[in-house]
Amino acid sequence: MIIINAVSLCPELISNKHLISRIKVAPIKEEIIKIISHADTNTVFYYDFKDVQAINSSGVDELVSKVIKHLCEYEKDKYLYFINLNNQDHEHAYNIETTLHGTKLAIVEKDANGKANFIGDISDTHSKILDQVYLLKMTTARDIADLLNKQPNLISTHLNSLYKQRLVKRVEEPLIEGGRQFVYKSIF
Amino acid sequence: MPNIVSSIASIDSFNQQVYAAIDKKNKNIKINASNLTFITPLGMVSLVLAIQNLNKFMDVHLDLNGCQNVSYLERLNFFKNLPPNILRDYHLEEFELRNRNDTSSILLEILPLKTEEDVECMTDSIFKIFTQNNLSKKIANNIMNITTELGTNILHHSEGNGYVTIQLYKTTNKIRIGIADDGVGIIQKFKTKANSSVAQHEILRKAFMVNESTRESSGGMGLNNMRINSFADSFKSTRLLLKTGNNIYDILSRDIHIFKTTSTYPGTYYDFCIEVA
Repeated sequence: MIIINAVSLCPELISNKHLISRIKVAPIKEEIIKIISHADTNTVFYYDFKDVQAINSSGVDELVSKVIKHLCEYEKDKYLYFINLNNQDHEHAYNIETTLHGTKLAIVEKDANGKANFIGDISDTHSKILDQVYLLKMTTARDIADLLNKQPNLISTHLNSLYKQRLVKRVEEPLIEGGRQFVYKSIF
Repeated sequence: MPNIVSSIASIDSFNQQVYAAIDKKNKNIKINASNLTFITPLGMVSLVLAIQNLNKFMDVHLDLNGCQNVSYLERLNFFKNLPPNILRDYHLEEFELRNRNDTSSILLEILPLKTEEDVECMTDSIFKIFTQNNLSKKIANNIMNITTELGTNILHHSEGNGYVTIQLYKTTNKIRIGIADDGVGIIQKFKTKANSSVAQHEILRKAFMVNESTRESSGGMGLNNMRINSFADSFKSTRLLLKTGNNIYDILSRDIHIFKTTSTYPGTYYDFCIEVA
């Protein structure tokens, strides 16, 4: 796993660790995208926000929205999650949630207890499906359909959407009886 | 200047006189502040901008004799931000030598916004005000989003000088923010040639209601995001008034109305009154 600390990536550009100026944050974003691009497929990254003092809408747009969009549009099977989103003075999760609202983008946070929190533009249905994937760690559309009492085809469509959003991993595995199926996994 | 800085309408009236004097090429001007009894944060920064601009073109005499608010003005760094020649008739040493109480938990003195570091300083002040008064971090984030967006707009778009001051009024749980510049104004920045107030209104509506930025890049949530943060669920109430172009606008959670049509002069002036609890 490659660790990306968004703040320490470009210390010369962030003197007191505020991510509130687009002019300052955009070069950091470019550096992060470069690192992501050069990484191997199936790499999982995480942002550690423990040193971030303040991040505003512009900072979230550059460092979160644009990086997620890059992952979704240009990178195959690379993923990003967040840790330490809240500290004594700042509630970054709330700020990110507010900024991502209406953008069709979402992120996964691994909280202090190792539990997954989903932040951003996520429907109730997707939230329920994600809860199951992260609880089970590895599952299929059929398994989730049985748990949620839904049609497997419908769940498969939702899982495909969540995979494209880079909120879950997906691998293709052969079936004993022949054929193949997608197996969905949590990204941590 | 009777209470001319207590409301955005009175500030606007004063600014019209200021820029009329500049247009007429007056050689000198007297600003009578002797009966000034109440001044809002926006009034404070507007006065600083007005005096600075008048001082470029004429001899300015600021009359403070009998003014009840000199110590308050001094505490907010009002005099510190004026051109030195304005204060030649006054001896403010007595105020400068006083022990100042630490009021950083309720106010940010008038701060010029010239660099990114100034915006960061403003941000630190906001979080200090909110954490030291046990106010919600969510509210602090909303206020920070509002002020950093407007602060960076001043740095990168206004082409003028800008100032901010913030005060928490504990007795009413209201926070008032005055942030203003004497630059080109929002209308001009959206590159319009429209002159009528109706056309300007539509431009402002688009700026505040749609995700749009003057920047070529795809980024920039801009004024729309600022509006959303101004009317966050975490606030009990918000009143947001804006003077730019030839109108004063009342910015609402889902719309923007013309509050008053006045006259055009440089700058953008925001008056926030937010009830936080």
